[in-house]
Order: sequence, then C-alpha cells, then structure tokens
Amino acid sequence: MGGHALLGFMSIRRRKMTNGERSARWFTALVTAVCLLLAPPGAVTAGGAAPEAGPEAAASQCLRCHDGYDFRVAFPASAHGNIGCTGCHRGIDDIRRHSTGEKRPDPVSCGSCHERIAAEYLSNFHYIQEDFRCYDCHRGIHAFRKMPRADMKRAIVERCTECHGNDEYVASGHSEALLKGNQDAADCSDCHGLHDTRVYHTALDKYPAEAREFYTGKCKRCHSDAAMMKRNNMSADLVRYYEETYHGKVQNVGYPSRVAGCGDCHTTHNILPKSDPRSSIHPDNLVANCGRCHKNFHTRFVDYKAHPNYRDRKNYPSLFWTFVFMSGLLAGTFLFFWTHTFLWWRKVYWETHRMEKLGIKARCSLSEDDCIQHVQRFSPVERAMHVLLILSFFVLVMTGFPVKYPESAWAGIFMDLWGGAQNAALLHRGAALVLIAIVAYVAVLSFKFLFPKGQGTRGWVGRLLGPDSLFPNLKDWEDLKGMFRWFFDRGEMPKFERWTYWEKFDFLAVFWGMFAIGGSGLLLWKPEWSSYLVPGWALNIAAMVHSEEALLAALFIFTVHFFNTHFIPTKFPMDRIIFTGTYTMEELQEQRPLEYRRLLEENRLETIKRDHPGIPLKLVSAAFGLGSLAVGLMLTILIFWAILF
Amino acid sequence: MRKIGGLSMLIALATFLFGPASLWGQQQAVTEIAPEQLRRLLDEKAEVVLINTMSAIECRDHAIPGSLCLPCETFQERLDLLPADKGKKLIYYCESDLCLRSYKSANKAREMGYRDVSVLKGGLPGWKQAGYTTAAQERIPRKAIPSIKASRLKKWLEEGEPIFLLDIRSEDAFRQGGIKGAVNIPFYRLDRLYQDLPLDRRIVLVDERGFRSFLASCYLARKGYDTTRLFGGMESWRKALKGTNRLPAGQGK
Repeated sequence: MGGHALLGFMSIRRRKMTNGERSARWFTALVTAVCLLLAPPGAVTAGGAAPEAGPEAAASQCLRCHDGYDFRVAFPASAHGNIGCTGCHRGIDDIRRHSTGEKRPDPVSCGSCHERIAAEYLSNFHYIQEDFRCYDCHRGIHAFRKMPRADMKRAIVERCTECHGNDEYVASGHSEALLKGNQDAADCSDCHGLHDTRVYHTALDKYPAEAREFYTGKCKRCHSDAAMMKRNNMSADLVRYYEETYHGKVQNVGYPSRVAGCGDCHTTHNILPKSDPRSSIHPDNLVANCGRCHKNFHTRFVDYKAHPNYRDRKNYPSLFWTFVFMSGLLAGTFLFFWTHTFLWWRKVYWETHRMEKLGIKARCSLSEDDCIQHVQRFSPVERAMHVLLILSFFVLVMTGFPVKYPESAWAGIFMDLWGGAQNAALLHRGAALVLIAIVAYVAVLSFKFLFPKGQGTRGWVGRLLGPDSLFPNLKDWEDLKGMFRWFFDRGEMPKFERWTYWEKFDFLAVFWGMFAIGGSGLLLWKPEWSSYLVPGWALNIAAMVHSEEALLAALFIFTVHFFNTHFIPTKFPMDRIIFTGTYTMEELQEQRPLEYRRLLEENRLETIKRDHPGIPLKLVSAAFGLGSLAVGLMLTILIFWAILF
Repeated sequence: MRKIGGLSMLIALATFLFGPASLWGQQQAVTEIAPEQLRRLLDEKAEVVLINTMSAIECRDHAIPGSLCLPCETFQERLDLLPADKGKKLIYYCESDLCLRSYKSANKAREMGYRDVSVLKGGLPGWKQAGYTTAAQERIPRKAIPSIKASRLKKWLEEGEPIFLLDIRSEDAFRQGGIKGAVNIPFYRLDRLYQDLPLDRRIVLVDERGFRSFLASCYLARKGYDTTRLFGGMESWRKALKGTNRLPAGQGK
C-alpha cells in the first residue's frame, strides 16, 4: 500500500476526537502560531539540525524545507492557518527520519474534523465512481479561504460547470436569478446535493424511481416554503395542488416511477416560466412535453391542469362547481341517511327494551309448520352476484383509497400488501371490470323484467311501478313518511311490499355510482384515448368525481347499508339472507306483510318454499358475512382517520 | 402441416424456456460475494486472490488493497498471474455493478478449472458504498475535464468541429457499433498507444456508460492532450439518437 500521503486523504473514520487529542491539536496550533509570529523568516529557513520540539513537528520546522509561497504566506492566512501543518499532516514524530524521506506523514484525513461532510461524502457519486478526493474540488487547499455566504451559490455553480457544462441551466430562471444575486435561487447543490451528490446517473435513467422521488422532493422543499415563495412573488400552494392530482398522489404513496414528478414536465435544468417560448410548459411545447410520457393523444389532451386549485372559482370554474356539487351530494346523502339510520336504531332499541320490560314476545300467527318453513328471497344467481360485488368492491376500495389518501399512515401498508402500485393498479382495473360486468348483467335482467319475451312493451309502466320492481313509486314516498312518523312514535311502522325504499335506494345508487365512478374511471383508465372524446380539463373533473364518489360509495356501504341491513338491533350482528337466500315464512310475513299477502292471494307461496339451509352454508355465510363486515368497519375507521388526521 | 407447426412451436417454447435458463445457469456457477463478506475474508487474512478486471491505469489509480491488476481483455495473455492451485478462492470485480468484465473473467477462470470463483457484488463502487477504503499505487491527478451531452456532440459532428473521437471501449464492443468516425483504443491499451493520438485537436472520449472516460481523460490530460468526454457514454448517445432519453423506465419498488 505504501505510505503515500495522498492515499488516505479521505480516510473517513467516524470517530470522535478524545479530549486529549483535541487539546494536543490546540497546543500544536498555538505553537505554530507563536512560532510564525515570533520567528523572522530568515530565522526559520536558517539553522542546522532541528531540535526535537515535541511529539509533532512545528510549522517553523516544516518551513525550513517546505518554503513555497503557499506554505509561507498563503497558508497562515487561510481557513486552516490556525491548525498549522501538523493539524492535517500528522504522524511526523521523528523529523530527521522525515527529512531523509524514511518517514512519511500519515495520510491526511479531512474527515477527522469535517465529520458530517465526510460521512455524507461516502454516498457521493464523484467519490463512488470517479474517486474524487476532497482536494480534487477544493483545489489550492493551502490557500483555502472561507467564502462570504453571499458568494457561495455563485462559486458552487462556477465549480460544477468547470466539468459539467450545462447550457440549459445557464439559460434557466434559476441561473438568471442567481446571477442577479438572489440567494433563494437554486444552484447546482440545491437539487443535486453538495457533498452527497447521489449516484443517480441521470443520463442512464438507471434509478428512475429514486431519482424522480429525490428530485421532486428537492423542488418541493423550496417551492412549498411560503416565506421564500412570497419573497419571490410566486405561489407556495402549487405544490399542494400538484399533490392533489393523480400524479402527485401516486408520487406520494411511494411509487413514483410511472408518474410525472416536477422535472418531468418542467424539465431538469431548462426551467423557465410558461410565457417563455423556450419553456417546456409554453403552450406551443405542451404536446411534445406531455408526449414524452403519454402517447397517441388528441392535442386537446394538454388542456389537463397539472396543479389546479379547485377552490378557485374564477380560474377553474368547472372544477369549482364539480367540487361544490360533489360536496353537496356527499353532505346531503349522509345527512339524510345517517339521521334516518340513527332515528331507526333509536326507535328499534327503545321498542325492544319496552317489549323486554313488559315481557312481550312476538308470536308467530301462522301454523306451526309454516312458521319454520323457509322461503326464498334471493336466487342463487343473485347471491353469487352479491358475493362477487362484495369482493370486487373491497378490492377497489383497498387499492383506490391508498391513492386517495397517500399521506395517511396506512396507505403505504396497503401498497406493500399488493406488492406495489403496479399490482394495485392492475387489481383495481380487474375489480372494476368485474363490477362493470355485474352491473351490466343486472341492467340486462332489468330490461328483461320490463320487457319480457312475448309481451314486448305492453304494460311496462305497470311493471316498472309494480310491487316486484326496484324502481321507486308513490308508495315508497308514503312509506318514507310513515317511517319517520314511526321513528317519532306517531304511528305504526309502514307495511312493506317486496322491496323497501332504502333497498331501492341501495340498488339505484349502484347505477348512479356506476355512471359516476365507472364513467370517470373509464375516462381515466386510458386518458390519452379519452382525449378524443373530451378535452384534457375534463380529466381533472373525472379525477375529482371518481375520488369523491368513491368516498360516498364506500362510506355509504360501510355505514348506512351495514346498519340498515345488519346492525339494526333486530338483525345484529348480521342478516345472512343475502348468502343463504332464504328466511322463514314468519319473517316474510313480519317484514314484508304486503308481499306475503300478495303471494298468498296469488297462490305462489308453494313455489318459493325451500329447505332449511344446511350447516355448511350457514357457517360459510357467517364467516364470509362477518368477515366482510369487519373489513368494512376497519376501512371506515381508516378512512375517517385519513380525513380527520 | 399442423404437426410441423406444433413441433416448431414446441421447439420455440423450449428455446424460450430453457435458453435463458442455461445462460442463467452459467452465471450462477460464479457466486456473488457482498463487500462485507470480502472485508471479513480480508480481515481474517483468508487466502483469496482478489482480481481487478479494469485497465491497468484504473487499477493503479485506486483499487481494493491487495488487488491483482488483470484486465479482462488480457486474461489469456497473463495466465501466469493466476495461482497454480485451482482450489484457491478467486474474487473478481470491475468498475460498476453494470459492467460484465468481472463475470466474463470469472467464467473464463471456471472454464480453466478454478473451483471457487466469485464476483464482488456492486463492483468497486459497491465496496466504497459499503464504506471501505481503497489504495493507490499511482494516482492520476483529477482535472476539471469538460463533459458534453450527446446532443452537443451530435451538433459538433454535424458542424464538422475539428475533434478526434476516441472510443475507449473494448474491441468487441466497438466492433458491434460505435459513433461514426470514432477511433478505438481500448482503455487497457491506452497506456501503450496514447502517443498515436493527435495533439492538435480536442479529443472527445467515449466509453460504455460514462463511468470510465473521466479517468482516461485525466490520464491523457496529464500527457498534454486536450480532452473532453461524452456524458453518459455510448448508452446516452444511443438514447439521444432514439430520442427516448426521458421515458420512464422503472417499474417501481
């Protein structure tokens, strides 16, 4: 290995100096300084054999041989002048042997003082790949002087551009501001790091995900600094608006490789305002700019807003009104149904309590056989569809909501669970197809129900508003009023036909949801193709509708539907009828008295009689149903957690 | 006819399935060794032959202490440097985790009958990133060597700028395609052939990925040549030609 002084220049050992070492160094420095002050230059160079001054040689002794201008004049005035020659060149304990060349000093270790920098430098690209040592950039180290802070940024640019000629940066807004003396403008080190320049060899795109995340973070650091942006007459909110878009959300959920970070649109060095024709975001350059990632789109695709403020009615009216509409829809739906559910629960709980207290037990008014006879409410196909619906819905929620709330503590956990955003995206689309298929099938069934074979359009209005239809009619309005009267003890509970109004709402809500979420989702699936149908800004609206409607759907199912169907005290903890398909005739008579009477009159009761469900079906139903309820409730908690904290 | 179609399909399928697998198998014969493992072996003074497969210039500039300099391209010429005992542990490394020189050399050593052949994971950069030091025999002073991007080089070539394009990749790589007008002197032969270079023009150095041209440039600059290097090497040149330089390539975590 040899004892070359250069070899271990950067021998970086992260050790703390002991007190002894520190005081020894100060002592050396003091001796050096005193010698330099007292001894006239002649006296330094004159003299014969050196007296041994102590464990380490003093500067006066060094200068006898090393008497260049740098050592004699520049070094004492330099930033390191106070620590003397032996502050860096250690280990010369025998000056005679050193002067004969037998003993060389230890390798210089800048890291023994500059510990933090030395540690950072370990990950520096210039060190890792090119083996730069401190003095390769800090040239003329013996004359090195501390630089005024105001000159630092310019000096960094000067130093980096010695090798890295970058005409793009030179032409950029950052460079222009910096040369005008703006201390906020980014120099090379603000983005690339100074001593920790990363091994993101951008020319090779070798670490695209890491580089994008790293550099986007660097942009955000300054551009979300409110005080700094205000000083420079810029908006600090743009970062937040970007984070509200699909690009920003996927970036934040921790899978940045496939979505645009700041530099993908604004470029890396050639960063200019959009009014500048050379700027990548100048309207004339947008097609090419978006085209670097997106392919085969209509030119109006570029109307997409990369960081819109949906609260800004003047500049983004369509987004603003979409937001108002969606917020109103959510607020109205939940206000009504949460009140409805709460009042219902109150009524049932109080009623049950009263019955318990009085010792009244409901008695079956049918014959003993009929009481326990099971009748079918849901066909096997309908049950299977509901199971598929549950599964696809959960997958959609668990893959979609981490993107909706990327900064929540659980978003990353879900993404890791799916094995990355790529998988989550695939599953989301797969589950969406399943859901679309189910809804399409139901639409076909509905069509067949309205226009059965042989009958054509005859009597379709009657069927639409009839008792077997899931379409609302006047009776539902009466039932709704009746329920509220019942909630407040002002009347009997209404007698229901086959479908109650809340069941009809659940059913029709899926159609509305499919229109809103499914439609927007399809537009967003292939945004480039969508641009042939709608302009780019419609994708902003689609993203908002998709996201807000998803929140509405998830919370509605996990709160209102769960309570109405399962958690109401008469059915708690769950009603397994959607999985087993049957209930007793007693339950039919009690819950759907009008349907019971109709079936009795039409003599159809016989046709829907079924065997009592077996134990395996019951067990599977309970496990799947309770599991689904548990998952749904957990997701509700996570969603509220993300909204509130 | 259908039978033949089926058979060819089957063959295609088998090639597809087992073709890469056999290549994979070949690579697997050489084990990878982590920098920490190597450090432990060296600390324990285990009998290992550590071989730097880069050029002699690079190897002398800085290498893992105790390395043997044996450029991949001169493997056949310097067989005498390898130990006689075929059971000895050989560990190869090169200048980055992307370079194949260490694998090539290691495979050749295995073909020669060496039983315990490994490659250092991440190469020399991996060793440094793990925080271990290197040693120099003859350090080449670093100079401020201007680097130009592919777009600038293209412009220079189009405008007939008087430059000398020097490709320092191996002969094999150069034969498979280089920039038009480039002259090939592989890095491992540069110390013997540099005097043939012109002194009256700017020399633009091109390597595989931009990792090696800096040191070669510094070496030539020390000899009095006016050097510039292509940022990102041939890889960025190819990307610039295709115009796909900025397409996202990764698949996430």
